[in-house]
Amino acid sequence: MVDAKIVEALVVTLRVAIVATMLTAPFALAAGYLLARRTFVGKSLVETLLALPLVLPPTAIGYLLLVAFGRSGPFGEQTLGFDPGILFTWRGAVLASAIVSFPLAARTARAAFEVVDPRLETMARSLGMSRAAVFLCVTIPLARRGLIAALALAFGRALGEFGATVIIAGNIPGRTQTIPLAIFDEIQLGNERGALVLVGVATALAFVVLFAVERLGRTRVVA
Amino acid sequence: MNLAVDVELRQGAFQLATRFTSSARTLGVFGPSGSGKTSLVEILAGWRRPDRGRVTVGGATWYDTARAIDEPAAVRRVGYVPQDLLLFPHWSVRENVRAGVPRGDATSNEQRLARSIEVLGLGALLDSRPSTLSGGERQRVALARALASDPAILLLDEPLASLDLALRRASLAHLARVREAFDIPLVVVAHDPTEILALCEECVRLENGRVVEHGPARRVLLGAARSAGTFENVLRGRVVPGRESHVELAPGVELAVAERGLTAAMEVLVAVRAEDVLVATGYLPGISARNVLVARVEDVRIDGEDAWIEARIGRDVVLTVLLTPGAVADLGLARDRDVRLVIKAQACRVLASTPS
Repeated sequence: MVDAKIVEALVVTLRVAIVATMLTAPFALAAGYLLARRTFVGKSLVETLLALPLVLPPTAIGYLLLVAFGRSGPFGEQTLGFDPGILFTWRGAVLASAIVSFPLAARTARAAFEVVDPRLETMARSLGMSRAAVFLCVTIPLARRGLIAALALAFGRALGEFGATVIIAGNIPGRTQTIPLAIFDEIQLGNERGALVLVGVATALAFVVLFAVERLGRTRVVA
Repeated sequence: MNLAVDVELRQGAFQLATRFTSSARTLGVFGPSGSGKTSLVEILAGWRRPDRGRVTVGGATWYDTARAIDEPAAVRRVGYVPQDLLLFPHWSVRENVRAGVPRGDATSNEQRLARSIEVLGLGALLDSRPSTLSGGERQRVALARALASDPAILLLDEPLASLDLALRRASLAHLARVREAFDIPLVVVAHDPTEILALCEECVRLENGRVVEHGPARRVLLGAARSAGTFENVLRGRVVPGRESHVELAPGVELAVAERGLTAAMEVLVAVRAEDVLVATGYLPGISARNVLVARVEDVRIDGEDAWIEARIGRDVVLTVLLTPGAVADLGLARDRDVRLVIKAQACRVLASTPS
């Protein structure tokens, strides 16, 4: 029985983490690029706000989401006129993970973009490339290593998300129960062996992600 | 090229207030570092916006605060080769050069691309990445990319400054080839007068953001050289067939150079330092120097401890010679005096040679 539970938890975890990374990626890239390239009034305020989910207790974020998507909240069923299908669903887990991993991805992306010499972009522009072409063909490829690291970190953070997820998505086996939630469950039930196996799986996943980030950070991609 | 510049730019304590017009095909911008040369070039390229002023090139207005015109760099069609070259590190040489090619109108673009690659000798390097190239090769790629963009004007910022001496010579030869092969107005920024003399007819001298002198390159740079106490003559010539260590500077005026590897009819640039030339007023019975040239003094100017002599050899060659005031007094050198100029072959440094 333990094995079925592990497989279920693993599938839910990967599904949530992958979709959360895909959801957070465009926002994180855009925020990272703007912070790396633009100066504007209130930039440090924006930086602080964007970093907030990094420091806030994830349970606080979960609670805020719960209030926002609760029946009478600003994104709740009563306000919208339909059920957005966030509370106690895997989509809720995705949203929680995406928000919690956003600052990590945005900050890493910013560092990646800052490494790209803006004069190279100016040169590309003056050779007649459009803004979009410069971004896609010059900026992104040159920042590639750091950007991949940003996504891997977001993915890794999503894999381990617990606090916000448990509050907005609950702990429903097969639906919203990710590995961290399953570990919590096993410990509550006093099932030490099950907990240990899950910890092993979580460790293996974390190892793979961190190893990939480390490799990407170190290898000089001969570009 | 009919370049007219009248711009002002304030950057902290530095103020650029540059104003000149030029119709030369090759214009040098000379000045010490911090004189505003790069700022001026970036203003021309459209990379930097002046606070006030006007830039027109060959009838097109690129920038004019009064008429609220500010053409973007891409519209100006400027072939800009900055000092740091800015090659795209993730692309091959071929992709880098191709990045300059304008969209549309395929055949002429492809021809220009092929010609840029050929003139700069990049054929064997097309699949290499910039990081694997030498400094000189990288510079050629940047030049080819600029040429492939069908520029209305070519702007080179310190094209030789980052290269070591051995590469400078090859690079100068490539620049000279580009100047001959493409009919594109050229602006060369440099702090080394020899580079400008080798490439430009006309020169603007900048100091603290202002034009302090403007005219024929030789005159402007000589003025600057007098205050520096050193000057390098740059002479253009062609290798004499049959006597490959001799360069013909003008009909009947030959210079022996200590240089191997020159072949018949090569075009060469020879540098001779003003302080390396001896002046004799009498007959020289036996002398090891390979060059004894009959010349006439055109100008003598005493400037503190320096005496600057302008001597004309034949009709078309003028050489600047640096002596001491004592030597001028002892020899009684004065305008219209006939003299012999004595130059060792080793003192004639070949700057660049190109097969013609």
